[in-house]
This record gives sequence, C-alpha cells and structure tokens, in this order.
Amino acid sequence: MFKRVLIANRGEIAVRIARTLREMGVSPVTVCSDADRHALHVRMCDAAVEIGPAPSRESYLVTQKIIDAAKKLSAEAIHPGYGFLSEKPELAAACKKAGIVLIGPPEEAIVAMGSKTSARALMKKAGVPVVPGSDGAIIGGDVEIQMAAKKVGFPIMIKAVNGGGGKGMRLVRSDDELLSAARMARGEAKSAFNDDAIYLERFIERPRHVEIQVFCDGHGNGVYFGERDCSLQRRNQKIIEESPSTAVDGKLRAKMGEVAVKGALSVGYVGAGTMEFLLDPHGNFYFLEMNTRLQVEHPVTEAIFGVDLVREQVRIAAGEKLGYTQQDITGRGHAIEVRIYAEDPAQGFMPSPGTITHLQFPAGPGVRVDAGVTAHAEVPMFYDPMIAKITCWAQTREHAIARARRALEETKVGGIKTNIAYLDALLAHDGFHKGDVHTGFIPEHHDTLAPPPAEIEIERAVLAAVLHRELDDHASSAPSAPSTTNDVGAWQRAGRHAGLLRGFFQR
Amino acid sequence: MSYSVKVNGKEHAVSLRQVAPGRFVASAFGKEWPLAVVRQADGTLSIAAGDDRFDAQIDPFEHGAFVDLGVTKIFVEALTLREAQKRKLQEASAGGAGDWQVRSPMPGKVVSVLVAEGAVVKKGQGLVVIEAMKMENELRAPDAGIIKEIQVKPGQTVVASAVLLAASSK
Repeated sequence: MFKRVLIANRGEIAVRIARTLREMGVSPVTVCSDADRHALHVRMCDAAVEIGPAPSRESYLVTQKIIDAAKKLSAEAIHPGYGFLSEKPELAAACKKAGIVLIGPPEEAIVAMGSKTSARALMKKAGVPVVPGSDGAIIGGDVEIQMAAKKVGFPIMIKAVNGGGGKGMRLVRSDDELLSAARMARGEAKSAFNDDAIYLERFIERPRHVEIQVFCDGHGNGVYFGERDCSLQRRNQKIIEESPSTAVDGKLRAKMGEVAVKGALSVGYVGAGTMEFLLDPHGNFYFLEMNTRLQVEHPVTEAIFGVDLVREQVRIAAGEKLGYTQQDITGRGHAIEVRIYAEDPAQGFMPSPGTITHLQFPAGPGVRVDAGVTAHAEVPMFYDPMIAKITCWAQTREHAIARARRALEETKVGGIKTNIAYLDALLAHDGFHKGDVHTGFIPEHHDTLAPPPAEIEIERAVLAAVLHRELDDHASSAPSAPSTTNDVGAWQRAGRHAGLLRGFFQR
Repeated sequence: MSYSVKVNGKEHAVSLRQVAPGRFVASAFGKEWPLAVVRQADGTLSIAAGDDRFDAQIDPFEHGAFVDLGVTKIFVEALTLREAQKRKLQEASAGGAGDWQVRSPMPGKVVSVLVAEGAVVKKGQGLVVIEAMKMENELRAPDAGIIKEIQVKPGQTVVASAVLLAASSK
C-alpha cells in the first residue's frame, strides 16, 4: 500500500479523499492555489504545495505543477478527485512518465471515453445502445452547424466534445435558437475545458438520467454498484440524486449493469467509473457518456451498499484484486443526496461567492455531510459554486425524503445566498414524491418551486427583524446565551473554534 | 420604538415596547405579541412569540437583512419611522423616471459586451455576459432604452453591484 498520496483537487472532494486516506494509514498531501491557502482541504492534509494564482487554468489545471508537487512531497500516487485534471489523459501520461501511480483508469481508457464522440462509437460497437447524433465534432462554422442540425432533427442538445458537468451544454428546440446557443456553448466550453469543439445529439423527451456505478480491477474483473437517478437537474447540473431509481426494477438494473460493465471492460477500464444513460418512459436506455473518475454523487451509492468507493479506488490502484463478485453486492434502503450551491434562486441562480458569516451543518441518524468550507471561510469566485453535499439514508424512500428535509432545515449558511429553500421545495414536491421525475422536471415545475413564504413565516421574519434592530440599538437590554463572541478573549474563542472543528472532522 | 417593515413588497407598521430585559410586547398584524428573545453565542436570535418558538439568523444586506428561519430566508427591511420618511423623500427626488442601470449581481469577469453605446435595446435583450464560478451569465435589459454609457470592457474583473452600463428611456 502507498505511504503517501497527493490529492490534486480542492473543496469537499479533497476533504472526502483525505478522510479515507487517513483511515487507511496513508498520509494525505495536497496542492492549493493562492485563493485556497486557508482552505479546509489544506488543513486536512499533512502537507500542501502552493501551485500558483487563483484561476484554475494557472494552478489546478497545470499538469506539470501537480507532478512537481507529488515529486516534492514524495507521493507515490495522485488522486485527481473529479473535475480539474481528473479526466485529462495528459495527467495519466505525465504520471506514467514520472513513475507515479494515477488513482484512476489507464490513459488509453480515458482517451477512449474522454471524447464523447469516440466514446459513442466505441460503445455502439460494444453493443451498448446510443442516442442518434452528429457522429463527431462539428468542423466548420454556422453553415455546418445548421446542416448537422437538419440531419439530427430537433429537439437537439448541443454538447462540448470535451465537456462535463453541464458546462457548454444547450438545448435547442428550433432553428432560430440554434446559432446563438452554439455560440454560448462554445464560449462556455472554451473557458471551462479550453476546447470549444461541440457536437449535436437528438434530445430524448422526458428521459430520466440514470447512471450505473461500475468498478473494475486491473485483472479483468468488473462489477456494478446499482444505479443513481440524477434526473433532477437545472441547466444540466445535477442537484438531487437518489438510489435506487423509482423507475428501475431488479431486472432492468441487471440489464443496465451488465451492459455497463461490458462497455467498461471493452476499453480496458480500471477503477471507479460511471456509465450515464438516458432512460425513456418505456424502459429503453441510451448511453450518454462515461465519467472516468469518482462521481460527485458517489455518497449515495456508498450509503446503499456500505462501500467506501475511494478506499476501493486506492486498493485497486495499488494493484489489489476486487476480491468480491456481483453476487456479493446487495443494496439496502434508500439514499438521497442534495447539493448545496452558493447561488441565488431569486436572481436566476446567479452565483453568490463571498464570505460565509455563519454555518451550521445537520447531524443525527442517517445524515452525512461532505463540505469543503467552514464558518468564516471565503467562497472564491474562481471555482465551482457547490459548497456542500448532504446525503441521507433511510429504510424507505419516503423516510429518506423526510430525513433530507429535516437535514436541510438544520442547515444554516449565512453571508452568501444558497439554494437550500429551493432544494426543500423540490423534496416537498408532489411529483417528486410520486417518483414521477425526468430531466425536464425542474423547468416544467419552476413556477411552483419557489412558493411565496407562508403568512406565519412573514410574521416571524418581521418580528425577528424588529427585535434584531432593537437589540442592536440597545445592546445591554438583551440577555445573551452564557457567552457571546463580543466579550470572550481570543484564547477562549480559539478553543471553542477548535472544539467545533473537532466535532466537524469526526463526523 | 415604532417601525415600518417592508417584506415581499408590503409595508407593515410594528411598534415594540420593552417590558423587561429580553421581554417585549409587539403590536403588529392587528394584534399584540408577547415576545421573549435570547441572543445565542453565534448571533442567532431564539425567539418565543407567545407559544410559537423559533430561531432566526439575521444577515444584514444593503438596507435590510435576510432573516433565515430554517429553510426559508426572507428579505426584510425594518426602518424606524424617521428612516422610512427620509427614504420616501429620497426616492421621490431621484433621477429621471425610466432611466436604468445594469449592475453586476456578483463578483466576476466580463466575458463580452453585446451592445455598443448609442444602441437602442429592447426589454430582455442580452447586454453583458459575466463569468463567475465557471458559469456564464447573460445580463439582460430590464426595460427598453438607449445605451448611454458602457463602463466595462471584456476581460475586466468586476465587484458585486458594480455598474456595468447605463441607459436612458429614449
């Protein structure tokens, strides 16, 4: 087993990986940009190398800086997390050259699956069903885009060839929206992935996004850990994920799982990977893309199967065998993950970076929190707006939903805007309770998802605001809880802060 | 003290009278409310309004505050009567009716400016694209008008609520 592993990432996923490494007796080390010197992921690790300015193109996305950091800290392996360099074949190649193990699939498998167009062709060949599309990146300008669109047929989804996470994706319903959408998609793809190549694909109406978690060792063995239903998406960004899917029964699960494992093994895949499918209302499924890395929503799978996917990744990267077969894998209960974003639903979901003035995460039975921030931390404008994930497990779906709503109610994030109330409205939605979801669920129900506050809430808010002003104007007239931050010494404050952190780390 | 409290576009008159340390009686929404309040170490107010007990975290923002009641966050402006009067006078004397500005809703980078000075724009037309947290956001015209002044260039970094451009209504 490795003695030391470099985490080439930031935020909640770097924190999450560090935790597992710690449990395995492996020393976690990491990198940070100038904006992240005080970040939680740095504090969770034994060492950190500063790798440059805040914009990720000058720090987290520079392969050589990551390799140099690993060498400097004598790390034997690199865990790339998700995003950043995790799906770049350059990192795999550079690792190989430097004699460092990449905790991820081999370079060839990343290349095969990295370009969505080549992945489509390969999966088609391996017998995995695919959606009709432009069969390759569009070469040329407006005329070529219009010609390709005519061939594929509306509605059309524009996608970045080297994209992911919804960046550079646009749905186009008619010819007159096509060119401006293509321009936006290219712009986003360029800024997010430094590559503005796009392709077109037929848009399947009312599909679910159902993905299969696959896992392969380097010895030709592959298994799947069920599915995740990630149909609740806003602008193609997942915000709530659950497992199992209400649309997948044992038979369909086995069919999708077997196809997924076959597809992965056909490109020599090793480690954790996710095969994303569109599932139509008739039980037909189509290959969308493969994510050749750990997925943001992996805790949902961990909750159901009682597996630590990062631990498995590290074990497999160190050359070990799976040590179990498909028959050994059984899921239990229901899990739901909600993603908390620093964004303002009231203003068209504009990002809301800033300083977190107040922070409280939920706890209690069946609740898991993965966060990359602490109170008083700055949420920088340079990176993804997701600040935390809350995953709730329970015996039944209804109970898991109730638990997730309870957990959201306990969550307090002050100083920045978040989507917490929006997530709660989704969880409370009748259509969601019935399991009647599809990837267009959020736009379809948008108007009912931001209900005006109830009368009692208005009354409470008004009374609280007035009391707040009154107490501020006559500070002495307010009785305080045993100690207030105004009158304690610095040592006492530091001690209390450390106590809070201990609680946080142990969760 | 008497307050004029604005929430969801409606104004409510509230008067508050202290009866003991941490104990008040409020007159609001057409009734009397016995209130007890404790300020927790982290600034949260624990409030009992009659039999209704709740926590409120208050986040000041611009002229008001976001009141976080658990899941719901509500923007509330609580002004003393004097402040409310002053505000009304200011609003009445402010600039030419119909002129508008576009401000950046968040810190970010200007990706592109889609109009030129002197351009006649329609309501809802895209004006400036701002990138923050890996997302591009198109800011649109709140109304029809003529672009008077553009204050930013592509590539420029802007702070939250920075004025990007100004327009007049014809």
